[in-house]
Amino acid sequence: MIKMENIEKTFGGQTVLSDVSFNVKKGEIFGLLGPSGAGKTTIINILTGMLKEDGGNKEVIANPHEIGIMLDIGGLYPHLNCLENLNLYAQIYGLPKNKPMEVLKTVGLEDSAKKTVSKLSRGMTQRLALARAILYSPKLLFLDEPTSALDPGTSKGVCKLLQELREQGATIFLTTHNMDEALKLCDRIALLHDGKIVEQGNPNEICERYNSIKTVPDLESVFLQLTGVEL
Amino acid sequence: MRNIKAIFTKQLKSFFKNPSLFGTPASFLLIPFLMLMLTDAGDARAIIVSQFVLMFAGISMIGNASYIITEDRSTMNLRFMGMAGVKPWQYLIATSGVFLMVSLGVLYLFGLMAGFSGEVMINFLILCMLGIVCSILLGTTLGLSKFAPFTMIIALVLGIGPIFAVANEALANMFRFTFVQQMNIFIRQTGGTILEMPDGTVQVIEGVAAIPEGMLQIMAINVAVLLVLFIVTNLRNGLDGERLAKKRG
Repeated sequence: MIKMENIEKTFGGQTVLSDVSFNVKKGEIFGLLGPSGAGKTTIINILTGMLKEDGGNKEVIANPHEIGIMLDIGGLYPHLNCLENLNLYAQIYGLPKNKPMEVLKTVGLEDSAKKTVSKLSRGMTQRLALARAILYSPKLLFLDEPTSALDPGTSKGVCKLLQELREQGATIFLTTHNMDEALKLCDRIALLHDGKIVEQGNPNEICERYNSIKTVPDLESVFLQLTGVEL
Repeated sequence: MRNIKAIFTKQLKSFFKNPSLFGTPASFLLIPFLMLMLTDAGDARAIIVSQFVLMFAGISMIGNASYIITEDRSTMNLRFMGMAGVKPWQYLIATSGVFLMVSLGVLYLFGLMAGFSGEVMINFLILCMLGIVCSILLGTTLGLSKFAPFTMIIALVLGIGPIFAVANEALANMFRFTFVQQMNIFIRQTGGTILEMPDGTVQVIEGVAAIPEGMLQIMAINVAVLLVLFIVTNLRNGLDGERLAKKRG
């Protein structure tokens, strides 16, 4: 579904991505993990066409209208309410009139349907951005830190939602610096440090490879071992 | 059609829910209304109203058109709409449609305030709507370009310049062929006036209802020039800013 080969990217002479290669299979949840500034958002911007790579090849096998994107809290109009924000895309995609409300219920925002976006908390805004991304049941989802501003309970709900979407056949590419979440949610992960992929594969297998003396899988210590950097 | 309807609905709601968008047109309507209510303007009604019509067309509409494009771009919605299959022309028709519809209503109210009716009102609406088309084109072009931060300065110059041009020949020459000056000339000529001559006699000058010869052609040239500017800017930068973003890397 997604293929990145030897991707390079520089900004103002500074290399932010170097020789990045990975692929994402259809129907899996793939996590890109790394600390702030590692290059996660740059990779997601390249995959979604917001930025052009300076070297290497990328391939995304999906039609644009089959892709859902959640980039931070982009895509929302601050002066419209939650329902109005979703209605725009529901009408463009020709969805049933009750679909926006259904999706708001899915992300736990049904009581805030008539609340203006500018009055929502950061966590609620993030959930609305996710609602906008999944509204038309996309085949491929790009999510940039989907649970970063959420409390543990809501985070769990979002993870459950993503697993349900995967069971319905969606392919999900997400970035996160939450190792626990990556361990529970992702089928495969790639660890990113200073613009380079330092390890990739099934999270439990990676933990076993580097973490064999511990009984509990611990991606944080694996990352520390590989990069010398804590998250 | 579905895309146009969806975007039209959204832009209409945005216009009335966002104080940044409806605030200036509303105040440009309210201020002359209050002035005319509280004073006896007599034959000067048209002149008073003309100042605010120019500010509405020159400042408000240019600013609003630029604002909406910039907002849609910065929230990534232009990109998301593009991915959903919305064509640039659909977005532009829907967005312009809202501005034109709101402008027609506002201009009609301005016309009533100026005491226009019949032929004068119709000519006033035709000319000013052409001016609004120019404002929308200019505002949209600025919103798509790297000059977006200068929109309000340009809008202020266009909106207020003709007002000062009445008393300054150099300014009058500078603004002579702009769409705002054409609107200014027309509105001023519709109101009659009474002149006291040096010999003590009084000369009554009747207002003129017809659009002066050549004015529509000048407006059409303004529309054409701004349309070309818009097309060039759109081709260079793209409606969703993709080409501009990729150039910047």
